[in-house]
Amino acid sequence: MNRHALVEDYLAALGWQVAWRRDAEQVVAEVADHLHTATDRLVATGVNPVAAQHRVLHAFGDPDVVAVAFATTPRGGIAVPTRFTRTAGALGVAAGLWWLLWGAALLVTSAAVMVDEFRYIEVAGLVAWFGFLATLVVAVPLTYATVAGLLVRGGAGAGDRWLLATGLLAGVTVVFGAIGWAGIALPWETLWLPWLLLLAPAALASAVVWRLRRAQLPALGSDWLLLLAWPVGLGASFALQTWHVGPLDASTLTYRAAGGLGGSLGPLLIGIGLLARAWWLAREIPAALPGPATAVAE
Amino acid sequence: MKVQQALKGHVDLLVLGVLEAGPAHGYAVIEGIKARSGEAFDLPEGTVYPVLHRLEKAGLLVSEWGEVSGRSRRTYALTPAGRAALGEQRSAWARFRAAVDDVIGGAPWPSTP
Repeated sequence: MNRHALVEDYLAALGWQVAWRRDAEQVVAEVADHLHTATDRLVATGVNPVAAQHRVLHAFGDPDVVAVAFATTPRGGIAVPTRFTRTAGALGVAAGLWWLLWGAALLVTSAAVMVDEFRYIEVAGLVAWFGFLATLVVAVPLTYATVAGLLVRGGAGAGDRWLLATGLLAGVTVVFGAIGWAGIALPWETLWLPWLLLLAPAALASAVVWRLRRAQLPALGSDWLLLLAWPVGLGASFALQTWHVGPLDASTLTYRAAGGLGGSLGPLLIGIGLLARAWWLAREIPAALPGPATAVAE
Repeated sequence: MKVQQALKGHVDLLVLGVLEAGPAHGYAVIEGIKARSGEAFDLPEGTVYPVLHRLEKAGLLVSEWGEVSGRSRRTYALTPAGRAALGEQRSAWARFRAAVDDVIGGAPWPSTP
């Protein structure tokens, strides 16, 4: 088996370009077999080894172009880490911390109400309401920014329907959050919309992450937390209220502290799941690629 | 151009067509396309591998690794779904070619009165 220096240099360059892929080693091994085999054949016909390598590498294509061809998706984007995806990851870390903070605040204040209802009921209500509004205008948009980063990382091009849906959801959430901050009372405050606004980012993030996992990106165990966060949180909230845990709120005839205690699991689990995925996104090294592939084979 | 540009969108069919003869590694697939086309289809070789990977992901090909002369070699083969896809694409191509031939073949078009 002959090793050819120019081919090895090429493989090193290509290896760097596709390092973000989970199957990078296999890609390089496959290309190595092609290049060495082609060079050996030319050399066997009497071509000078250096000239043979030049011809073979020219026919194979520039490493940048080949790397882009590997990354270009049918949706028009290139599935590589970029500065945008890293920034989205950093925003996701902030969002994850916020979700954790809100979940912890809900947990602590709900537990306090269990211990001394009259002393803490008011502060628990304030934390729940203002925490909810702050989450709508801070953590949820940041979560959507992370989702956008994940979509771009997965190869979503301009005009991608998922990207558009993400932007739309972010806009709707901010509008309703702003209405809440303005103190304008709307019927939606007591209906299903608040829950929908909180459920949507976790649901969308889970759907996007699962699509990415199919696209040869590393699967994280913590992705399950994103998926299970609200089912677990809502389930626990419902169960604790059904079992009449804690004091009864005379004004609403519900066990609100129990609901808050169980519901706090939702933000806590989203926070952990998002933090892990965003940390992964933020730490990837951006690829220096020229642009979407225009090569004939794509 | 022009042959290469016309190829765009048909590379899947060419790859499946070459692999119909039997399992082959990427280099052999590229050489097969070149040889069967009388060197007319001289694809940028590096861009054929993403096509092979995509077809494998779509379930039309299956690959396995072996070792030849001390090198790792990935060999691709058609799956039953790949064979079916090849049949469909072949029929579609035959219809397309016949239609193009009819249009550009120079047959006289009935003149309007």
